[in-house]
Amino acid sequence: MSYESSSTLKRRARRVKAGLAVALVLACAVIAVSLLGLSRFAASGYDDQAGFGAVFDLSRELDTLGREDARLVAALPRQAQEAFGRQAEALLMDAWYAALYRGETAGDLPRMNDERKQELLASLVRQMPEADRLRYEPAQAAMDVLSRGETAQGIPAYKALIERLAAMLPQRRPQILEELQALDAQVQPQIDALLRQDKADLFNEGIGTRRITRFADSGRGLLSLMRLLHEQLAAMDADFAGLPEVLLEAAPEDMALNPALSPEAQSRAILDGLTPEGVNGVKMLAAAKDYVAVMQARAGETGQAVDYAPLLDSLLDVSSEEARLELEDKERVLRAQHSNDLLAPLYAKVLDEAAQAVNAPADERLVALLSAVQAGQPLGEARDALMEELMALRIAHNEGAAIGFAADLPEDERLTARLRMLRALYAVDEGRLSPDWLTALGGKDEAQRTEARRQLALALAGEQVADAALAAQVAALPEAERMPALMRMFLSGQSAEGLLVSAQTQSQFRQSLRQNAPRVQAAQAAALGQGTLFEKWVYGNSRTLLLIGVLLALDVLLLAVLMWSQKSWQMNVQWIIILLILDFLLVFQLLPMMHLVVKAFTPNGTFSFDTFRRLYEYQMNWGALTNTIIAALATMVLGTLLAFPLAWLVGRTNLYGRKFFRKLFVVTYMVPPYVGAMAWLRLLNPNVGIINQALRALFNLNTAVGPLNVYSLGGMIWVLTSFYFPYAFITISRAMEKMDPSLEEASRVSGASPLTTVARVTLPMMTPSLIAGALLVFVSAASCYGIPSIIGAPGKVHTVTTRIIEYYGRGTQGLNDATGLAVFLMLMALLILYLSDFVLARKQYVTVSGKSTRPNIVELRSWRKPLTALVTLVAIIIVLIPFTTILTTSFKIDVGKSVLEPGNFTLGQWETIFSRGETLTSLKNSLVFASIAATVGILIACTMSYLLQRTRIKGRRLPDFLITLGSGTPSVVIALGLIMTMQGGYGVNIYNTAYILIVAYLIKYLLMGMRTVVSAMSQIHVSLEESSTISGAGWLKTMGRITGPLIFPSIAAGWFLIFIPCFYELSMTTLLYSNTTKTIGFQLYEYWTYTSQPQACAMAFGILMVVVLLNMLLNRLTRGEFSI
Amino acid sequence: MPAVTIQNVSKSFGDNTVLQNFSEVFHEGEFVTLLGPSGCGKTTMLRMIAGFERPTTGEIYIGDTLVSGDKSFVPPEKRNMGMVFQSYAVWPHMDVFHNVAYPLTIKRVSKQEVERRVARVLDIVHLSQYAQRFPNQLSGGQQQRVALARALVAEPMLLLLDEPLSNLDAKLRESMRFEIKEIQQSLGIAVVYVTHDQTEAMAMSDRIFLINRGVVQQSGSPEEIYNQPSNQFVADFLGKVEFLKGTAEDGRIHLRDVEQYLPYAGDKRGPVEVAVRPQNISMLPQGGEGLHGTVDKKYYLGDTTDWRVRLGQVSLRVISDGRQYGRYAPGDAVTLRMEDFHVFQDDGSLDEHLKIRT
Repeated sequence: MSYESSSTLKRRARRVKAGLAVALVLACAVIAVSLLGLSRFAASGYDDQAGFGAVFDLSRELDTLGREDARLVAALPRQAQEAFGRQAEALLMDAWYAALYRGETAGDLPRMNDERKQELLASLVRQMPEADRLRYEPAQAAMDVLSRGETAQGIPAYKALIERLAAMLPQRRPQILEELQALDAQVQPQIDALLRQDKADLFNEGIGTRRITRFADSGRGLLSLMRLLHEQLAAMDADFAGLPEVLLEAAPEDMALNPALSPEAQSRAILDGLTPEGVNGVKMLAAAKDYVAVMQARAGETGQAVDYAPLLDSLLDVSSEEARLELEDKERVLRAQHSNDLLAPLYAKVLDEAAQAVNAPADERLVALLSAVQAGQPLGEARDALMEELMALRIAHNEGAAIGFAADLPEDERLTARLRMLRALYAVDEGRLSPDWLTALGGKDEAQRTEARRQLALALAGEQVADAALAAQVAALPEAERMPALMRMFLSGQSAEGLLVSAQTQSQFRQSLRQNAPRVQAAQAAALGQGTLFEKWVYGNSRTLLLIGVLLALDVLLLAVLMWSQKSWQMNVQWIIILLILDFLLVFQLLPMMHLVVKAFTPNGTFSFDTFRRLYEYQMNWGALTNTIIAALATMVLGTLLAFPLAWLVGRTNLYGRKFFRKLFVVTYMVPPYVGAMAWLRLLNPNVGIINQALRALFNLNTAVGPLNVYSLGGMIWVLTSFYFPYAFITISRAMEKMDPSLEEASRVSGASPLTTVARVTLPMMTPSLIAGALLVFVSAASCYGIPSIIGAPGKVHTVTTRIIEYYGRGTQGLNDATGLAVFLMLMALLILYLSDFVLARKQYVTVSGKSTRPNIVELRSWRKPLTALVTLVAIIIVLIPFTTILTTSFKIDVGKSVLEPGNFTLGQWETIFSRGETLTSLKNSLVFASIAATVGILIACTMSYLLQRTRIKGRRLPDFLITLGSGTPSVVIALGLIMTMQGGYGVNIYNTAYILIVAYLIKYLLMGMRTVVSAMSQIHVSLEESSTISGAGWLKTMGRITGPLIFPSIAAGWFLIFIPCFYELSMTTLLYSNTTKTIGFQLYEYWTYTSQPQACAMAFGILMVVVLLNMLLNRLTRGEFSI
Repeated sequence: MPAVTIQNVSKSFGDNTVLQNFSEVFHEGEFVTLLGPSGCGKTTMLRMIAGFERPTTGEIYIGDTLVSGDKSFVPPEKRNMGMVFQSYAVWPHMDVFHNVAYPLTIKRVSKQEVERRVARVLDIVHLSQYAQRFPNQLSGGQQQRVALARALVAEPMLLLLDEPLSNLDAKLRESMRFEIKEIQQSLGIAVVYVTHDQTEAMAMSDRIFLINRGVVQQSGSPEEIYNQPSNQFVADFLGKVEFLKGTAEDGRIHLRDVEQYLPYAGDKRGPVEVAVRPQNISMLPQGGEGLHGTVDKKYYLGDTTDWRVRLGQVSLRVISDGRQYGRYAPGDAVTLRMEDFHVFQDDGSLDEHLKIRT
């Protein structure tokens, strides 16, 4: 075979290789530049780009100003120049200190509060050179422990200190520790006794706070506390007069006092009749306070001791998480206090011994401090003394640094540099010139100002000033302020407004200082910096550049690998498109996920399993984990058990109305899960739940609560099942309807009965689909947020998702816990994704062919009617009842009563939601975000479909894989990852914008659209396109007139499939929203939790209608081919 | 002027060479068939002419224009051809009229002109009354004719047909065969036809290219390749053939396994293969010149009778007139006379060739 073209090919290949090499070099260059920028950045002590830019701006301005200053000074007589230089150096030193210790000098100490002092002390020690730091650290740590009464780990202060001091006495150590242990055990009962008294205080503090927000469930839960208080009062034989009236305030309007009863009985009657739903939380809190007041008064009268422990427990139970932690903290502090008091004698003894034996410098300072405190010096004074000592040390260190800075400068630039440094340092502090001084310069032209500046320079050099007015002004200044004032004036005299640097630069600079580097460091950077605009841009955006550089390098390498594996070194536009999509996914999907994983394993910057140990050890985490797994497993089993028979009845039998039922069950798939949760809450609430009331009436149960309680693990499982079984239903029924009927016919011919055929042929063949459906239910239930947050959380049944959202934003530990839970959830979801997409998919017996098969229909005969009735019942329970509840609740005034009761019907809720601005804004937000996500998503989907179905280009599976991965990742995990990585740390900052929401939606729901378009495209035979091409149509025309119209229904369907879930999305939005980007789903959730349940129901029904209408539209648009 | 000129075209996909060094000129008005078993490279050749594939090496000219070469490539839409696909590729979202009118609307032909020309071409394919129907309302044969009409409507220089009849039932296939041929003759355009059905090829073609494993085995008129096959594969692929191994000597061939001699006047010597078509063997009562054997089995097929005659260790197939059925019974001794046969040098390639058949 002759290859005439091989030389051309080789030449082309060489050119492509050269191009790749150039791109790689370029990428490396970008990375190098950005790394250089990052190091400059790090050196500047800044942690945001704006501050860095401000320093650059200032340095450029100083450059021009400094040159003029230098010119002016150079024109002075030689002697004056030298004197000026000396003066400038002296002033520089002063300004340096002033800037460095602003608000941190010994003189400032009295103005600081304890917390600030503690912080300053820690930072002073931290900034010391190594040797000094080691010397002062123990003393600082001891000071910290003493002032808090305990260590960061919650060990009482004296206990910790005794252990620390014992370490200084090697011979006595075992003995001391033994003694400590014995004493510690001995004092525990005493501590407990003391704590019992404290509980009264804690209880009073807890109930005394005015804010209702301190209570979970808006104070409704106070009901249980009230019952306890009532019992307590009754036991104390207290006077109930007036209390029932106060209590009645908190009850629903229809409740009335029974005048025949005693006040005590009245109170009891009200409490018995109340349900958490009917309680007005604010009023209840007020009533509780009254009860407490009466209780305390009575206790005073009789001298009876009240046991506050159960009361406090109950209070903690109903407190919001935050308030509870606060109170629990206080309890711990009190415990530490008591322990300290009881351990004091031992401590004194050990300290005494240590003081005798001390020899190391670090111990010396520690013992000196402790002894001084022990001798009676107030803790604050001891701390101030320690701080003054440290500050003096620091000044000594810095003097060296300041002199060193000046000395390091080149001889000829020294003066200019000092002036620039002075200008920068002065710019740090506002330091206005007095009006008098301003008039001396203001309003003059440039020449006059230069002359005035010359005079000022002379004055600074100690020479006589010619201008009489100026001389008088100089003379009028107090001696100490004279020189700084002259210098300030000299420097600011350059501008007509008397500014040191331009107003804008100065304000930028000051603003950046507030959140950034120490002043001197910034001024130093500005005075030395010779930044060009290019450098400013490069260094200021180095993180973004680094990201771009890394992406570019990755792209080039990937491209090279692809070309190499294809053995054809030719460029292809399709690769560029693949790489662009890939880059998007790498940045917004893979990076956040990797970050989460890395963060989970390095909670404190170093590798450790702490995060995961805490998952196991910390009760709240472990509980959430087990709850999640139990709920998801139970949902999976129940959901599959429900889905399989339904799928069979609806898909393969002659059930009446099977098509209708199919649609009905499938439509629940589209309903936002939280809507279901709301409905079931109304139905199964233990007190006022409609079903509970009906059951009580039916079985004559004489209780106020139950028999069913939705606020439980069981309740959550039930709601999860009723809303996630469609996932299994769809998977199973699809497989069932696609099954080749001849397989079953063959079984029948072989003599098997229909039932045997189901058992021996149908079921085994369904197994992979069955498992796939079950796994889908499992992972959806485990990563659901809406249902657990509405049903689980009030009942204290926490799951991983609710925990993650609660932990997020609660400090470092909270974030670590959230990360650990998120990684756990993600790994579980990805494992299941792997199982169902990559393992099970290969075992799928039912091959989906293009030809439509008509499945065998089983005749139910005499079973037909009863089974239809059964399915109808299921449909009523699962679909009709919840949706009706939502609708009727939206017309109620009082949620506790029936909508048919007179006076309880209103259209007001609907009016409110349609007229309230925030609803409309959030609706608009939802529509806009979902539309953008759907449009961008469908564009990517179409591109990907084309690449997957119409090209054989290498690497097209990569984005496909990532997209599948993304949609398999739980929403909460996606959102958490995005929050942690998209705040600028990796060069992208879209936090708090609509983009972050849209990106999150895209990652989660892109696959929905893509699958639709891919499957449509795979069904269009390529010859349909080729025959258009042969007819003379180009690629675009063929796409526009043949492929486009043929797959348009699927494109539209894909668009809606992305749009709908984005429209009502809740879990990701909860983490990613900002005040301007609230969406309708989140708004609904807020209404439900904080405002009004009927209004929330009205909104929910509205959303439901939109979803159903869109589905119908979709159905119509695609001639029934698509709907969810 | 030649309609298509193909020069040294080879095509490989990766390491797999599917077509080797194809060079030929197709003339105007000529009906050329690319025939061969599936996977032989015939469809690839057609797709290279259409422009859906680019040759790895070599050049293709349409008329005088170079359309596929080392440096230049004319995309399919610029080649001005008609093509009918195996799956018809009739667009389901357009009615018959719009399907057929499509190539004209792409060319921005005026509306009246489109209507006139579509009407004419629909008339040619006998679909005038179906213009408003959608493809799902048409039978397979009708859809196939829509595809044909669409390929013809722009009056292309060249019509490419990719196994257009393989999805039709036998009766329809036969009638469409003649219809296509008739249309081609009346329009006088060049056709390149791809098929694996030898009867189809024989019935329609002016010239047949028999391809196997990417190599043209023989080209020529149907009669030429049927009667003068250039190798065993060709003989075997077209019609029925029986092979007998033997050794050529002066004036005769010794048939191995049969252990009899066959008179031979040709110039081949040494190991040979004798290819004879079963219908070219006459069966006579025992006696006289010829090969002597006994009737083994017989099958009555109406217009013919299919015999198996045992010659030594060989069972030879003989096809005779149907009326001969009653003349011999199994066990009868008969004499076979070869009316016409071909002798190929036996280089051991026969089995290799036959393996290809699918």
